[in-house]
Amino acid sequence: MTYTSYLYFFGFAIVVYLVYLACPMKQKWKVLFAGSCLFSMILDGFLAVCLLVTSLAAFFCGKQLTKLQDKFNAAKKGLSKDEKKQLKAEITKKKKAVVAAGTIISLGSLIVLKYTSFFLGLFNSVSEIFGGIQLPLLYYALPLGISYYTLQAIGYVVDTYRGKYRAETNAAKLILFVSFFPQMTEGPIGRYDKLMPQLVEGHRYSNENFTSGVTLIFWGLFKKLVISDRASYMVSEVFGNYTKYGSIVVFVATVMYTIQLYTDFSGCIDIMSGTARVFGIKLESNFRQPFFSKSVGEFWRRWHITLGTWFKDYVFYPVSLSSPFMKLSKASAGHMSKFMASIVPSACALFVVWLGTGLWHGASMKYVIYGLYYFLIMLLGTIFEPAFVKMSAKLNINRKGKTMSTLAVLRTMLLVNIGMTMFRADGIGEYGAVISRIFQPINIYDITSGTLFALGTDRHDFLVIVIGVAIMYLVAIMKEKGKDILTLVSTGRIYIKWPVMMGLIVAVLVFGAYGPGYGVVENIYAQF
Amino acid sequence: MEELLEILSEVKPGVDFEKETELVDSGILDSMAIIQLVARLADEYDVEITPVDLVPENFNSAEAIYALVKRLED
Amino acid sequence: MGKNKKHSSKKKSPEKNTEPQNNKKPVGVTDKQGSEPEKKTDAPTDIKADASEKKTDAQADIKADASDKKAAPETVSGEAEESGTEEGAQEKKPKGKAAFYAGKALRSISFFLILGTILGIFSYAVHPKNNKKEYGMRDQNAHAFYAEPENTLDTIIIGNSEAYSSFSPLEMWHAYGITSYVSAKGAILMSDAYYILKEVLKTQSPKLVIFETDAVFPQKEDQTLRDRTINNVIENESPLIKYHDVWKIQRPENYFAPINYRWQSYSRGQMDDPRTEGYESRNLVVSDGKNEVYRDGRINYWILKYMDKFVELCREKNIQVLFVTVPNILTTSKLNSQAIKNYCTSRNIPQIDFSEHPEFINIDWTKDTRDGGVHMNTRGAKKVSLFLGQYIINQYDIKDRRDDKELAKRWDRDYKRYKNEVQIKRKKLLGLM
Repeated sequence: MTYTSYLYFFGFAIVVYLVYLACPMKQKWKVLFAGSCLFSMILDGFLAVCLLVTSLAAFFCGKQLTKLQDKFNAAKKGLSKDEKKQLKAEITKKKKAVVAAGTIISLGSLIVLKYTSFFLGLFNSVSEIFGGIQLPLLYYALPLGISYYTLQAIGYVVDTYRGKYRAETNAAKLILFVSFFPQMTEGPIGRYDKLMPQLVEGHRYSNENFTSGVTLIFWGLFKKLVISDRASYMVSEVFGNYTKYGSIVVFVATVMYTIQLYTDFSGCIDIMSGTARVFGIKLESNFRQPFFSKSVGEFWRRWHITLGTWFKDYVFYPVSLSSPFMKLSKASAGHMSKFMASIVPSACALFVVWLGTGLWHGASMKYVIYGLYYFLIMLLGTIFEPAFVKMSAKLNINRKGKTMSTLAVLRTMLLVNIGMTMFRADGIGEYGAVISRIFQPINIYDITSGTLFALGTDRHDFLVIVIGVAIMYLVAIMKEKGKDILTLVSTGRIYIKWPVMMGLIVAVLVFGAYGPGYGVVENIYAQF
Repeated sequence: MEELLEILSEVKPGVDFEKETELVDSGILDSMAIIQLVARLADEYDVEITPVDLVPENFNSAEAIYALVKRLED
Repeated sequence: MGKNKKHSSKKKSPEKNTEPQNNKKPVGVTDKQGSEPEKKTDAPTDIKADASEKKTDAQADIKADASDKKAAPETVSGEAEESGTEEGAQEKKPKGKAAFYAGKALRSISFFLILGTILGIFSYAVHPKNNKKEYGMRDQNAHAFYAEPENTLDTIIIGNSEAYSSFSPLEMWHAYGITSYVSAKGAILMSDAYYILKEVLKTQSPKLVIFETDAVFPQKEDQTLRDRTINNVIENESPLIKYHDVWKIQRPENYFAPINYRWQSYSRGQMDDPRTEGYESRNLVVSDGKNEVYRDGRINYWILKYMDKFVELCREKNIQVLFVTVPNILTTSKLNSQAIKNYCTSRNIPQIDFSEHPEFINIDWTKDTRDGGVHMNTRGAKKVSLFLGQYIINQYDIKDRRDDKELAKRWDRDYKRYKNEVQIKRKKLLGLM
């Protein structure tokens, strides 16, 4: 995004906010509704249409599902147990049809728009082997945010199917839920039961919300403009011409990329959450200090949390609890060691989850590999866990001790770094080439010659990045220890609040990588 | 209850399930362990646990799990 | 409450306790009564005003209120201020509410005052202290007019790379005694041209401003012209944003040094280039996608807006405007030329279009351009400048300044240097140096 697009966004948000404040309590949600509709139309007319279709499909399916449930509840009184069961089966069948329809409409549009060319390409390569026909590839313009709001809508439909809550009775409110403008383009993927009440409720101006929102916005801008965009120049230079550079430079570039990815994504989420917070709305948190994770599994519970929990609730659990999987687990219980029997079924379900997670990021083989990479690491971790436990017991190593924990954190960082590099590489082949480049013999000349600082991110930039990351690290440590700077700022005294806010504003304006001499850096996660 | 504690310690050995009240929130039971547990519970008690029941509140303590099973048995 | 806070920093006035006290006020106090006196308390003499107005409230409680106030311990006051959140405000009776908002307003104002001061300090610290590149000035050649003696430049030429390649102020000086300056940047945006002109007019009072029209149809970039223009305007209006990056090269001793733009461009902004690459000699790639310009003859809204502002500024200051289109084969189009012609006609601006009339200057496309038909080289620039100088002398009330001894000394010296530098560059090109 260019900084003008920030200006547009904030200009838009300010106008919506002023109208929001001016409206009476009960009408406030309508302002958000109108604002979100307008926002999607400004972004892209096609996006507005897609949003409307998805939301309306979710709305009608939800309504139908609740209706069916009510019918069952009304009819079941006075029925015998067997009759009840029969009726339930009947209703469940109908409900399944409805939920399938809802999912197919929203997921279908996502698949058609995002994956057509991928599947056609896949078909072509298979057909090439057998000498079959070649289909022309179809590329559609992918509306921004489709990968995010589609999941949100599906979550809603499935939850009404499960009877977690009653369906929304007001179509406009559901449209607002699916398309709430701060989270439209990059998430976080919200849940109806948590988000909807906040959207509808209406909030007065509150000092606390305002300061914490604005601080969060500037914190996000700090991450994005000061750190992420600054790192991006070196990253694109090295990844674009990786054959020119030695192991150290390439390795630094991959680390820089991981930093860029994290600050870009979490920065944008902070900006959006901050915007919502000003309105008095708390979006789901998407990150919980991911780089303190001791294992890759933990990392994924702390990184892009809303995507992880979405896949857990709507893919992992239903798949593992489905009857074929239950059968599988019974079968494996009979034929394998107890340990393996416990792993095999969930491993199969996890495979589906990670395939999905990978593909969600993009329609390309590299994302499939990306997902499976994490799957494999976690699987190996689980399989070897008992062995590790035994080994450390024998060697008398305290696995929960400080040294081991630190090592585990570092190991996770390294593994994640290798995984994230896949995002940046243009394909699997290039990815392999980049990674193998790291393992070339180390050439000290890389450092002494100053190449590192001549790749678009000079020594001043490095200094800013290092200081910026250090500040982020301190904030994260505080948070790990239960001290949230944001709460401190929003509720604290002036001598805490003002220096922090002013410091952030000055840092963004002075040390942000924006304006003349800086290229435009797109948000990485908006493309997914 | 005794039976349940046994199942629990089979799924995840070395945890004091009688005392823990944050099994999910503190990460002792991850989603994989929960699935294993659910499979065992379904077997032992002949209950059908659906995804909607898979929320942290139902699995945070042995007591909560027990309550869930009892509820589903009815 | 507003004024109370003001004291609090200086005197620790016990009055600060008004807020909680106000809660006790009877319902009879209306909003109006409550808010009016409080609003006035922003005045500097507010202590007395406040006291007298309190009396006019004519509420028995008020007196008690006031006496309470005096007795109230200081410590409570800070608490009441800090925790003054929304919920607190809601509970308060009207008067307290008004006071609360006044306090808020004062707080916001002081926040922005402090922030503004800090930003101002940073803004000065990163500002280039000299108009040279090493000090952080971009396009130093366009900005060397600062070093010219005040009100000595009769003609100002503004434009993009076409302008700094095609006009030679020193040739015009040598032939006609015209004092001119080319303030041009590569790929200039119209808004930038407007701001440069504004800057020039601060120290110079030219009689003629020449605008080179290639900038009307800029190169395409990822960003739209609207965004580019808005960015550019923000940068020109806010030095902090424009120069924020200069901290990288600013030497510490220069953070708070005085700004002194004393670097002079001997060539008066021209960037002469003796290389020759004729039009025919070039293997032509008309559109390589990268350097694509707008060719459809439609002047973008944001360009047009700042063109109008540019012309208006000149008219306001009684400066003649002349639009010149320099010879250029590759990046112009018939439609573009027509659009500019239409613009000049509608605004009554004289225009010379060398692209349409290369015969004016006898252009030799094989020898007069440095990059195959886009930019003039030194030779081409001389042709353009001599024609233009003649035109200026004939058409405008611009005098031959060569009899001004002091001025002539400077300009003649620089003309010699110019000729010398051209020779050196030529020799370098031929490998003789």
